[in-house]
Parts: sequence; structure tokens; C-alpha cells
Amino acid sequence: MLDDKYKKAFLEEAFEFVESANQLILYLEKDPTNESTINELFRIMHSLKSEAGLLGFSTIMEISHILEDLFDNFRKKKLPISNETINIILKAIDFINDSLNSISATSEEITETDIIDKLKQAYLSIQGGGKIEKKSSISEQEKKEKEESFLLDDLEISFGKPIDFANIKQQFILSDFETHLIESEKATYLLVEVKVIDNCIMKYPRMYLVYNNLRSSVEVIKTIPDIEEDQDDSHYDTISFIIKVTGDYKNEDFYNLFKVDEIKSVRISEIKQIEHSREDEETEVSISNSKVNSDESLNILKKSSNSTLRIDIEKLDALGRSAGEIITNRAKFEQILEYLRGGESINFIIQKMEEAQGELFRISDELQTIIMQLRMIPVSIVFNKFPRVVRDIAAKLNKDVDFIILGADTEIDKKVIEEIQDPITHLIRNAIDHGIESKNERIAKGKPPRGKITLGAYQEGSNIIIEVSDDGAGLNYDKIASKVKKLYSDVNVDALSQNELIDYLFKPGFSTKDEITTLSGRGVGLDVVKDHITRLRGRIEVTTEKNIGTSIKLILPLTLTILEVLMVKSCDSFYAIPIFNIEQTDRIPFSSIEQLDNYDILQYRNEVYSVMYLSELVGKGKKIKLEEDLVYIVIVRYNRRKVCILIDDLVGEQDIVVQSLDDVFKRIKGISGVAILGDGSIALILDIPEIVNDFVKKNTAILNKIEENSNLARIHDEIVANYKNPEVLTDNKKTFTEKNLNSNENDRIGNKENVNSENTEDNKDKQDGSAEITELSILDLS
Amino acid sequence: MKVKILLADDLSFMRMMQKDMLEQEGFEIIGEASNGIEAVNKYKELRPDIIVLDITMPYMNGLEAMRKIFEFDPNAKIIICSALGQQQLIIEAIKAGVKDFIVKPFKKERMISAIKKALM
Repeated sequence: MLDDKYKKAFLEEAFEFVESANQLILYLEKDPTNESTINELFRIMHSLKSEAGLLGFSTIMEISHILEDLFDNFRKKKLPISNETINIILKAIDFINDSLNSISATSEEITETDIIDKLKQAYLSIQGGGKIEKKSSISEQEKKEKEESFLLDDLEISFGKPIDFANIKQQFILSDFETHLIESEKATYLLVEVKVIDNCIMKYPRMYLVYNNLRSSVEVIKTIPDIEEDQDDSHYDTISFIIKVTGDYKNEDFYNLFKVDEIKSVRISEIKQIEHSREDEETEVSISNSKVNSDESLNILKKSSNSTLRIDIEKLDALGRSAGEIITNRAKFEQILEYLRGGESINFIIQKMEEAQGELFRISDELQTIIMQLRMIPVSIVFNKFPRVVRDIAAKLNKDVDFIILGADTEIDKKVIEEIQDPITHLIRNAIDHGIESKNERIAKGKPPRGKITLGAYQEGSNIIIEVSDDGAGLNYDKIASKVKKLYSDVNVDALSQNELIDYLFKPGFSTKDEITTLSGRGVGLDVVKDHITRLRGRIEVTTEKNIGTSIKLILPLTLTILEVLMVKSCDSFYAIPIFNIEQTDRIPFSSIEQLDNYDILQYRNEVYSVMYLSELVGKGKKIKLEEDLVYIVIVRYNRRKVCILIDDLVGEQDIVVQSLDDVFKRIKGISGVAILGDGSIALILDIPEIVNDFVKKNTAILNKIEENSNLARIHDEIVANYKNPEVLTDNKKTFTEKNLNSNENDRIGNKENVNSENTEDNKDKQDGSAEITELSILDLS
Repeated sequence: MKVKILLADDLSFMRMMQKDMLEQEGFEIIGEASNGIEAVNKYKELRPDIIVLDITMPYMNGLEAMRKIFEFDPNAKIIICSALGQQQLIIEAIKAGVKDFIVKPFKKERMISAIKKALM
């Protein structure tokens, strides 16, 4: 049985390989002879081969091996890769991806495939009918290297092949002086690559210890990175020394110089002047792992949206610094304790205490900021998957599309990143399928024949905007209107504004495409997009112009971990209600709560609410603390549903750091997380959407009744209010309800230019409610 | 003969932990100091084979103590003990000639290995 730990590590890396490979192959398609791209692909396949081999996934191993050979051949022969071959390679990578998914689910790889044969054919065709290079070529080389390495206590020492000096000069940017020094003298020069162990905490100081040791007995010409200048810990996984030795260096005295704690391995290679007339294939082996890669296009973030998170080392360093400060700070408190014991004056101790406390405040603030930042990762992790998606969709739909990514290094909360991938895919599919016109159509319109799709990300205040735009035909209002007419016979389509028409696009089951294609237009899509975004507390804005294009903005909160809540109390426990769920709080006479068929209801400011006891919600029965018959209420809102919750006490608004519940508690309905409060007590965060939905599900009957009552009450009020206006009285009941609702509704609608998701949300809900009256309220919004 | 070690840390808990770790490995703790001045004085007095010196200490910090000890004994074997985030101080100490450093919180193996290597 495959060890879960290994499986997870393998999968995480393998998925990254697949993603990078996909990227790189697309680059390759544009620039089929780009050497660094091919090199990188070769490296990826090589790594994948070894990892798959270690875990016994022989099919993946074989495929990646052939791919490796393939890339190796392209590399050596400098052959351009044909489109056909690229398609096969992409298929092979898709297969690997599928197989990885299968491993993820069942720990078994997929073994049945024809892709190996196809790859072999592709290989043979570029080989000109030759044989597939024997597997031994690389493993032999690897073996050779192994023979030359040994362990000295826990230090691994190995010897590399001699390295061409010309190569060193290029890679290490030696000064004229340094070059001259090495070229002229007859001494032995070595390139020594030193690695620290994987989890080394302070790499730079470690390397400095090695540097110190080396300096004490040999001449250090250069270090990469420059150890006297560059103190960035993250640059010191490996350091390369160019050193001058006299006499034999293969002895224990020399090796002992590297015997510094936490140093994992040393690789020693002689630097030689190699004649350039001879094409030496092996020189490339020399410093392949020194990570000198100038090609910008290769600077791909190789991350996948797994549950693990790779962290920018700088952020981790910052965290480390804060941790260090806390330890220092802790010592201050201990010192204060000493002062207390030592009977120092109280004023002195207070002063010390204030100092230490002030520091602790600052550090904890910093820590909070850092941890929020830790959750932030660049959107490129998701964005980089899309060139491939666009390519495939465009190819299937026979459309020519340029795909542009903007702001890929914009950072966004990890949780959000995981959730936005599907919505973006939907939007991009829609853009290619519905937005971009066919080539002929575009030419007829005088547009460039190639369509353009832009995927961008940027920050705006405390929001992250993800924007998918195309230069296609724009939304066709007529089409949408006729569809609305078809689907919602009771809606007066002509009265709908353009923005309101767009709202309908986000309703379930809505599609305007004449024929349903396999990719989009299945009637699912935008409603799903909206669900996703709403769940992330975001909203959607659409702007469109005929024949210019459509742009859809997903407006998302920057981070999810900090939540603004209203802290309330019930039965002496704290509960947090997210502010954005709250409509209103008040203190009302308990006696104003009425009974309707055994349900508690409250008539409050012209509306009727069903009433819940927070205590009952959390399983403690109906309990409430009263002060002279007064009770606190919180009216919460989800979509259009509003519910009044009775609580014991209002504590106040605050920002809390949300902690997700452990697995054990995840199943508790109505609780979305916990927060630890300043005094160490714990507050449960109420999941209002779930609570409201649950309540609605269980109590549809009473809600309908309330709705009726509510409407009647409103109508009654309206009649009274408009008593002097006979026009209203003679009109049917719809008109005045309409007015009534509008006054509420208009406040909430900010930007009318764009479609505001809150707005659509309201509208959507109005529909699934009972009254047609509410339907009409939409009409008047224009 | 047992290797003689002097521990200097202002936190008695830390010294206790280090003492336990080292004694289990057969080292002899010949003294403890809870601040920099004490560390320097005890070093001069006890002449340990190795001193484990915490950076953050009251009255005289570990780096100053280190300098004083090197003044007294240029071949002193000093292992600096630091918290995360004190990289600059560690570099300073390394440049001054300390044998090794350990970073809190450290594992026993780390501590032992650092001491063994420093003794080589």
C-alpha cells in the first residue's frame, strides 16, 4: 500500500510538473526551437520519470521517459517540433494528468493507454526510423555519479565532471581580474556546490560558516550568490564556491572544511580549459542545478491548487522575525516577573510592563498581517492554466483567439483562488463560444480576424477584481429579451432595462445560444458562476457594448480570514454574526412578539419577521434574558429572506480572525467557524445563509403565511397612507406595493451602470417568493 | 575525560533543558550563567571546553560576552544560541569566529551535533 505521505508529496509535485509542462509546450508551439523551453521540459520529464519510478507507477514512468527522450532529441538535434507532435505530447500529458487523478483517488495509476505507442511513433518519426535510445544512457550516467559520491558521517560528497572554464565564465560573470587569475595560474581551481539540508532554518549563516572554514585554508575566488553582499536566506539552498587549491584536494582535511552542521552535500568539480572545437555534450551537465535561467517565459509559478500551500520564503522569513521578536518579548515578561519577585517599585514595574505590552501589541499586529499575507498567493497559479484551456476550446470551435493575461502576480487569498478557477473557465468558454464571432463575421465587421480574450486581475481597495473580457459581438439584448419572454411568461420584458436583462443571464437554466454546443450553452454556467462568487462574498459586474465586446468583472474580497462581525451573547456564550448578513439590530418589547400557529413572529417597521431564539438555534432551548420586558433582536438577511434572531445581549462590532472548525465539528449546522476572543474565550460564528435556508426549508408553510400577512399589512398601511390619493386607491394592488418596495430597494442599488450582484440576488429571490407583486418591483428599477 | 560545557542563558528553563540534553550524551555541565557578565566571568574562572551562549541576555548580551571571551581566549569554542530572526547577529558572531550556532527552538540532535562538530 502506498504510503499516504509519499503519495501526497508525489502528487503535489507531479501535478505541478503537468501544469508547467502544459505551459511550456504552449510556449514551444509558438517558438518551436526555444532551447531553454525544451531544456525545462526535459528536466520536468526527467524528474517525473524518477519520482514515478520510485513509487512504482510504471506507465507514468514509461511515458515520461519517452517524453524525456523526445525532448532530449529535439534539444540535441535542434529540430523544430511539429504541431502534430505537440498534439501527441499534449495528449500524453493529459493522460498523465488523468492518471495522477486516478492515483489521487484510488492510489492506482491508469495502465491502459495507446498513448505510449503514439509517442513511440512520434519518436521514431523524428529519429528517422531509428531505435528508441536505450534507457541505460541516463541511468548509466546517474550510476556513474553515484559511484563517485560517498558519505562522510552525514555529509554527502560527490565529484562532478570537469567543467569548461568558458562555461564558468559565462555562468558566474567573473570579473576580468578573476578570469585572468584563473586563466594564468597553474593551480587547481574547483567549483564546489554546497547544499544545506531541506529544512534548514538559517541557510545564510550556515553557508557563512562553510565560507569561514574555506577561507581559513584555501583561496576563495568567488561565491555565487555573493556571500559578502547577498544576505537573503532564500538564495542559499545552494551556494557555489570557486576556490583555488594547491596540491591534492581529495583528502579528509579538505572535506572536513565542509563538515558544518546542517550541510547536506558537497559536489566538487574541477574547472578546466576545454578546447571549444570539440563539441562536448556533457558540459551541460555541469551546473544544471544552479538555477541560472534568464528566460522570462520560463518564470512560471509551478503551483497547483492542492490543499498545501507553498509560501514565498520572504513571507516566511518575516514570520520568523516576528516569532523571534515574540521570544524576545516573552523574555521581557519573565524579566518583569523577576522584578516583581525582587520587590522593585510598582511604578518601575508598571513602566516595564507597559513597554513589554506595547511591544506585544505591535508584534501581534504584525503577525496578523503576515499571516494574512501568507494566505495570499499570486493569481498566476490559476491563470497559468488558461492558455491551454483557451487553446483547446478555440481549436474545438474553430476560432482564432489571442489570449492575454494581465496582472498575473496580483495576490489573492488562497481560498478564493481555489474557488475562482471554475467560474473563470465558464466565463472564458462563454467568451470564446458566444462572444468571439466567427472569422468571416469578424472580417465582415471590419475587425481583426483573430479574436482577443483578456484575463486580468488587479486590486481595487479591499477588493480583487478578476476580469474576463473579449472583443466579440457584445451581448445581444434582443436575444436575451426574447429568451426572458420565453422562460418567464409573466415578466413584462419591454419594461426591463438592459442591466436587468443581463441579470437574467445569471439565472439557472438561461442560455441564449441558438444551438447548444458541447462546451458552453448547456444552460448551466453563469448561474453557477454567480453561486461561486456569492459564496466567496463577491459580486459580478457586466459591461458590454455591441460589436466592441463584453467584460465580466468578478469582484472579490481581498481576504477571507478576517471577518467583520457583530458579537452577541446568548446563555453566557459568545456568538459572532457576520456584519454583511445583518440587516438591523434593535431592542424591542418582548411582548411585541406574537404567535402565529405556534410560531413566533414579529411585526416590526411594516414588515413581519419570523422569530428564532439564538439559544434554541444552538440547542439550548428557548431561553432569553429580559430587562424590563426589553429584548435585543438582530435581523439577519440572506438573499431576500430575513429572520429575526433573539439574543441576550449585544456585545459590539469587531474584526475577528476566523478559524475553521476541526473535522469533528464541521458537520454542525449553522456554525461556520470559531474565533478566539481577546480574553481567550471562544465565539462560534453563525452561518447565516445556512441558518436561514434551513429555517426556510423547515418552515415554508409559516413563511408563506407571514408573507401573506406581511403583504396585507403593507397594503393596509399603503391604503391608509395614500388615503388622500384616490388614484392609488383605484389602481390595482400591484401599483402601491411596487412603490413601497421601490423605496426600500433604491437605497441599496448603488451603481446602475453595471449589474450589481446584490441587485440580481434580490430580484432572483423576489421571484421564488410567492407574490407576483414582488416581481413587479424589478420593473420599476429602471 | 568528559567534555566540559558552560551554559549561558537568561532563562533557567532553557538551561535546564540544555543541561538535560547534554548530560544524557555524557557531557559535563560545569557551570551556568544567566547573563552576559556572569558568562564572561564564569568562562574565565572555569575554562570550559565549550560555551553555549544565548544571544539575548540581560546586562550584557551574548555578542558582547562573546567578544569579551574571545579577547580573553582567542581559541574559545563558542556556540551561539539564538532565536529566529536574529540572522544579522548570528552573522556578526560567525564573523567574529564562533564555531557554530543553534536556533531556538532546536532539537537535541542539533545541539549535540553542533557541539561535536565544534570540538573537532
